[in-house]
Amino acid sequence: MLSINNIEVVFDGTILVLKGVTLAAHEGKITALLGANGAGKTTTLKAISGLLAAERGAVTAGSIELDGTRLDRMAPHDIVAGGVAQVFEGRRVFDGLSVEENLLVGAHTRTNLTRIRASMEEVFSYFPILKERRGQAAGYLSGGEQQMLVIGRALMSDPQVILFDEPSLGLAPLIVENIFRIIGRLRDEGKHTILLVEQNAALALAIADHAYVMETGRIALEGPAAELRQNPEIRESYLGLNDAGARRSYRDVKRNRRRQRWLA
Amino acid sequence: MRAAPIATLNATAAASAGWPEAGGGHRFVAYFIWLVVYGALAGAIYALVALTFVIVYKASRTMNFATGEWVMFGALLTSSGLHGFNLAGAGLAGLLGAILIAALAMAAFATALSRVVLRHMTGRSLMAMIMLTLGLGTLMRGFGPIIFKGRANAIVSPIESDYIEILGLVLPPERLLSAVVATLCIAAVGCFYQYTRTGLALRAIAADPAAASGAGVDVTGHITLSWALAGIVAVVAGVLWSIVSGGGIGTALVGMKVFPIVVIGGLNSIPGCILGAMVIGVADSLASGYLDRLVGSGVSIVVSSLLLLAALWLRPWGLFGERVATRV
Repeated sequence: MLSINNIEVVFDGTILVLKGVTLAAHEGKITALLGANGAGKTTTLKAISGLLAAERGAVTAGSIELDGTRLDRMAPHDIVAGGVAQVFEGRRVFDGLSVEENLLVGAHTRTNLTRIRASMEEVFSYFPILKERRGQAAGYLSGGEQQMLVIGRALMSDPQVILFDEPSLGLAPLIVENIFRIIGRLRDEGKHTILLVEQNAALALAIADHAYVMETGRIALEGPAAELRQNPEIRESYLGLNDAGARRSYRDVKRNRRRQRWLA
Repeated sequence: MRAAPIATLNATAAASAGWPEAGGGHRFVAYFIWLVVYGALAGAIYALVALTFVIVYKASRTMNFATGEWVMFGALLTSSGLHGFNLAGAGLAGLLGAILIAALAMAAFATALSRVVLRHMTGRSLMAMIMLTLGLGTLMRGFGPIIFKGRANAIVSPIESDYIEILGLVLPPERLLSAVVATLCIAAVGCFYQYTRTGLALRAIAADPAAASGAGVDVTGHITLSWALAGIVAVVAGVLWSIVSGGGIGTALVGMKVFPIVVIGGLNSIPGCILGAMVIGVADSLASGYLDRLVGSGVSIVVSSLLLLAALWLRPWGLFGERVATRV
């Protein structure tokens, strides 16, 4: 189980971005982390994968643990070796490297070449198109293929936990559907623990087992995904639906927002 | 002693090789070919010098403005080892031993620099890094004569220096040897990048350091490794340069060649750096072969600077330095 216990994240020594975030991602489940722009979702993922230091940020309080091992004092490559892989937002492939080389970089923390080969075959079984394009430069792949490559690269480290940052961003609906089907398979067949950050709440709640909603650096709501799908606030703010299932006017949503701010 | 190691190479060597003034007919063509070959031989060493710059730039986007000083230190460390440990009498084995000692020292220096100074610079502006390497270069140039005071700085070619003739071209053998060693060295570094997993990780860092870090590559460790590798290459480049042009503190001036080369070839491209070095080497040679006697020596420096300006104007990203493989 990946657990985040009441962490605070500060950038540049002064800017408090996460103000006490607690969440748990259970084994073999998909946990969704929802929220608007700037709520702190990506920062939470970077805190887990140890990538804050490069942006002059730091976890100043609380702890992050994977099955009892503290991750929040470890270097990024040790965290990857420890079983946590991150799929970056925005399809960050290594442009000039071939598909195969991109995947090999994902296996950098591993040494056993036969097991690395096996992982690569596994990736190709999830994404057959990558096998066809294995010799091609990653920069020339389509957006969907690049997203698949980035997911494949994360799989190459043989991770226990996979962190997804906005896998639907900027992709055509059909491709998004395909990607989310794969994410479901990674849970069901690969037995991976998945923490999924998404702005598309409907999509995330449809696939997730459990979900958290973040607002301005805090967890505002939490519950089983099935429950949150029925939650009236979520339906209004994130799914754009009212109780009858029809769209509401923006004025009502705005009033609701004001009310939430007041309550917060 | 104005820029002697660079400017005098081609012209004086041509004179001492016994080439007559360019006459008419086939002698003119032969002279031209000789200048081109001669320049290409120098270009191979230039390429090795530029490679020290490119290695560091690829890993950390840091422009090492002290490249010439690194090469100078590499040369002086080797010559000090050679004469200090009495290896000069041991021929080729002695030279290789001195190079090994100098390479270890330079790698240690680079590692310390990367660990102690540069790691605090992550996330700082490019300008801060440039000022830092400029300052480092000045320090090295200042301390060089103090540290290496009174030590012999000649590195003699392991081959008996008699002129040899290949396909009718009369060439000094130490120059030929240096070019061959430089080429082998560049090929070795290229293979390291292309075919090893560490090289692959270095290429991934060059493409996207944050993504490489997220994929499990120890980015700071690999940057340190790049500095160390650059230090080792600087030693070899310094030795080769000393063999063909005499060595000493003036070796630092070879750094002036680096910027035209990497700007022409692209800052992060090894093939580009080879090509840029060939362009500069041949242009130098032609300029000193034809123009020096018309306008006085030293034209070759002006020519490489003119090429630098032309490259900045026409292809500021370099011949091979494009942002690779972007789908349109």
